Amino acid sequence: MATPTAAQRAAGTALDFFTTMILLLIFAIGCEVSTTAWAESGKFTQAFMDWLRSLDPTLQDVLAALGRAILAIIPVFAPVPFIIWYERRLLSWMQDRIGPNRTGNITFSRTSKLIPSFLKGKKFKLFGLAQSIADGIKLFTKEDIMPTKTDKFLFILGPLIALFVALTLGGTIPWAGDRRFTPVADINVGLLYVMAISSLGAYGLVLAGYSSNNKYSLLGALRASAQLISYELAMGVSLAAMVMVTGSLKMTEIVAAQEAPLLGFIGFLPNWNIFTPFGLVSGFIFLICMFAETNRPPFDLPEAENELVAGYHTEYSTKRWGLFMMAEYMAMFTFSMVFSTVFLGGYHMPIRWEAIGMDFMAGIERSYLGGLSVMMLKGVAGLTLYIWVRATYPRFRYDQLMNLGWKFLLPVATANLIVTATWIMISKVYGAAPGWMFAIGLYAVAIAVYLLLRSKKSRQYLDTRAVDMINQPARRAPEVVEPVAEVTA
Amino acid sequence: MIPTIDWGVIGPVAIVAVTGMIALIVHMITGNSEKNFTQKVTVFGLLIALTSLLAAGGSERFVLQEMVVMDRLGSVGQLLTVFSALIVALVSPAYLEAKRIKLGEFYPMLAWATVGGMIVCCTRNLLVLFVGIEILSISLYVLAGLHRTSKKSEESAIKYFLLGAFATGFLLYGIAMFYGATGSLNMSTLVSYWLHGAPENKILLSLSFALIAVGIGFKCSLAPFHQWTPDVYEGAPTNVVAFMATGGKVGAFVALWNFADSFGHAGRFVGMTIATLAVLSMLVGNVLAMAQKNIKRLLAYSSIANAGYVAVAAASVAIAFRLNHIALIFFLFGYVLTSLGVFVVVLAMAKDGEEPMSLDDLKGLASRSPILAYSLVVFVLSLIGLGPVSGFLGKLFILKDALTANLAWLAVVMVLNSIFGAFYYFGMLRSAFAPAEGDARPISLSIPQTFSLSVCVVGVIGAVVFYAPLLAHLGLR
Amino acid sequence: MKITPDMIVFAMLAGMAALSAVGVVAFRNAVRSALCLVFTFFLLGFLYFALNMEMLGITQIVVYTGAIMVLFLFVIMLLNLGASHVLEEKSDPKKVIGIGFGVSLAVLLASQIVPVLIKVNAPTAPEGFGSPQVIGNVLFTDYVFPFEAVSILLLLGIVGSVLLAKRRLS
Repeated sequence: MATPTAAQRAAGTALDFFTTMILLLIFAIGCEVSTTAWAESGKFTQAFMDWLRSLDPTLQDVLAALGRAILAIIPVFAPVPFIIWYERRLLSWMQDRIGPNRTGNITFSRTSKLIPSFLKGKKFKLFGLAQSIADGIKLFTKEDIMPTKTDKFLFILGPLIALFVALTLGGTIPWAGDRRFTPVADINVGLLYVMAISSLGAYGLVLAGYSSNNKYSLLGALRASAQLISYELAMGVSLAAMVMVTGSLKMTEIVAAQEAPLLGFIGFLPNWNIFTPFGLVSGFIFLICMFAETNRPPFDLPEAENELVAGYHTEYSTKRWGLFMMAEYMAMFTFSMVFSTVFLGGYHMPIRWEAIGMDFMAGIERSYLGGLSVMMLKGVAGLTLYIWVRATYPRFRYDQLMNLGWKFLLPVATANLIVTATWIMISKVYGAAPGWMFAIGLYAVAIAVYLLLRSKKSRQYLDTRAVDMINQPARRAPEVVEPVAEVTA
Repeated sequence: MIPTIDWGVIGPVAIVAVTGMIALIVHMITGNSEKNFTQKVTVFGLLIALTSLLAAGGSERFVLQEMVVMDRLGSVGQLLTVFSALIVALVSPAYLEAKRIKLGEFYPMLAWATVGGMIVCCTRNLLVLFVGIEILSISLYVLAGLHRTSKKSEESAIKYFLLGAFATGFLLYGIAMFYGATGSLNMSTLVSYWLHGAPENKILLSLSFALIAVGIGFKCSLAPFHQWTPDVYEGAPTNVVAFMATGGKVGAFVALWNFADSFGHAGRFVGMTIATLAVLSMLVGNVLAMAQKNIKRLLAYSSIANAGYVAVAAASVAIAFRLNHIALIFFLFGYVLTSLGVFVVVLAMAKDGEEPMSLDDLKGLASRSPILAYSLVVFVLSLIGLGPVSGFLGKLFILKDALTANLAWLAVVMVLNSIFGAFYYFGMLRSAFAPAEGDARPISLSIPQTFSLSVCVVGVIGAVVFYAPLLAHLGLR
Repeated sequence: MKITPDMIVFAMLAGMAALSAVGVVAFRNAVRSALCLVFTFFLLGFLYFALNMEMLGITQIVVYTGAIMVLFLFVIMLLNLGASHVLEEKSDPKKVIGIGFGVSLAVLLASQIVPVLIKVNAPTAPEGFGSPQVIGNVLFTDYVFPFEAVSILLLLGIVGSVLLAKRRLS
């Protein structure tokens, strides 16, 4: 194809930019219309506040929402280069190799006259941190290649949607205890908002795959849409159990509910959902679904390199590929945050400081930066898990993927939902002790049924039934040839 | 606040729904075994539901405002729906065996279709009506395509599905407009809005009526919306058609009647519209049926004509306020038993993957199986509306209603159409009593087939013989 | 009539939704049409937000935008309906009649709805209107019967689709 002129290239960049801006605008409006009123505040400089107060109240809300949106985007957007570096370093450590450790190291010359004397011969080590920044610069300055016969508009739209999803996913997550700065919008369906936005993620991949005019891309897109929809179900059901325990879909209330003493009587530990039996099961399921939703190994079938070249982004290069990359890492990070919010007590540390009389620590926890740091630490822990799993497990086969989602995660999540509902009902009517006994009993029954179904006999039986149902010829075991007696005799 | 629910009213529906689920699980475990547990479980569940319906009876009862209304018409409608499902479930194994359709999921789907029909029978709430119609239709779409190796079956399923989805759109749009005009989904709010509401509401309401009439008319296969009927009846497996024509229609008929009834004093315009549909359906059904050589197509046109007769009853009730539903009850009773009987006869003739398709295939029935032939005589007489059979009684009551509503012209059209109908119905009998061509082996009937046939015959005749005690039981005399 | 910021937001959202709804029928390319539909559903979700119906809005996005339309695209891609010339039709009398009916329906509805809407002063929603708790309460008390009926509908939908999509019978 002909090399685009400078003007064409500029137009392309402008189009990218404007589309992003429009998407962001929609995001801001969406946040605005559902935010509660801007809380009164004396913390900002008085002049700024006066200026704000002189504005139309709706405009104030819009500005506040925009400010919070920026505050929500920065902690996801800024760490991306570090996340990439962290992944590469950790992965190489696990694989017993070195990884990027040089880029960014600066050694000043001893002899050059241009160097000030105090810098002469000094060494600065960045441990390879600049590698991802260099990669980024490379990606955004390379020649923009778009294959012929692509659907241009959709080709450009694909990565933008992926980025949009990754950026807006954190819209309802409370990053800290300070309600003035976070979350962007404390809507009463915060958890569903996460589900909704993450379900939009399929479009980025699907459009990219479709518009590329490439069989591999199309296959990747098909896999992506099937995978995302399958795992959304189990994810939703597992979260529903947590919603029932909390009694609210509001993210802030989910965090607040986890401040209580653990299981109601262990005073110095918080009642993080992951420590309760229901939360443990839910958390386990959510964790697996989270991996599938972000297309990370072992669920990276949409981009499986040894089957589909690079799947949905085969035809992508330069900045658009970079956008996909960034979106993936941001989504990973944000999903870790969602996990921490729902299961790991959000921005709280794993000790109830008030209960042991350390009000100083409690104050740190409640401040904006303190809460943010705790959340970031939890996010990094999540990332570590992501990378660890990537280094450990091989990729699923497609049928294994579907079996895991539909035949294991969804039933287990549903069983957990039922047990949770029973526990809530019985605890409310008959008190806590019978409730717990009932819940434990139900779990025992569930495990027994599971073991029964997995037992060798029933599995053989169910397998034959399954084969019967899809009318395939039954898989035959290789025939064992009986040793013929005459030959030996 | 948790509302109190009269479980006796919801009970039968719940029993049938649970029966479907249990049958599905049983099928999952046992598969297509020789003993056919799936069918046995379904029959058992339907029997329980039938018994509970017969036991319930009594006065008009409401659950959750008007979402479930158990009045006489509703309970008779439910009874007939469950009854037809029961008969179909009884005679299906032989037919499915003969056509080599090895899909035991037929029975749970049949149970759920029954649930849809039952819900539609017993509601005055448009939301519940919509959900019920959807349950009924979607299971029927699937059942129509049950014969997977037959192109015609697939074609009928696709046709039914596409047209049905379109009709559903109309229905839903009408319901939305209804809600927009009245702020409620209960049919009973209609009258006051129609009579005392703002004039702009009236246009919205009449628009919504037109759209809902299209939706329900499609389900009843009333004339301008009837095109799917012959093709679907021809292609779908005959046992499915047997349910479609009886249990599947009862709900739609009752819904049409309820909707017409809910206009109260204000039904003149509505009544005239439905009367037009009725005339069209009767003409289309009876005239086009004369040209048919295929039994199932013939029965399809016959069911269109019968929908026309029901529409006459609905038009009368819309115009003459507070007519009671005795006419519809008797007509439905006769229609369901008669159609079921005809289909049982057709089903009994299926053998070795073949089934009677054209009228000529009926030839020699009298010599091959006199029981079937003489039963057919009873059913055909009932379809025409002649002699001491329940079809006659139903038509008579409908004619009386039409005259009460000052719709004498409609009554005349109906009588004329009944005479038209005699031509093609007698054509069936002529074939049945003609000498056999080709296969002349006697037809042996299994126990369930004999039982179903005798129940239908006894019902068709008994309704006339015992009509006074029946009326007394229904509390109408 | 005073123009408030709410109205501006509404006008923007509604205008874009209407435009993309037109796009659904105007585009020749099936994928573009589907995407326009996605965008319409998405904006409808935001319109619900503007009416304080957060639950409904989010559900709209989760169900329609996030699940159903993805499967639509899935099917379109599998059938490769991207080729627009397949779907082209020459001048069709049905089209003209259809447009006529559509326009007259729109005029009729507008003539019914607009006079009513002008009289409305401010939205007066009761406390907690549209919150998950309120919807849950209504769903599990007053509307429990249709709710359970819908669950049967979904179940038979699953069973039916499996039944029809099973491998060919030998």
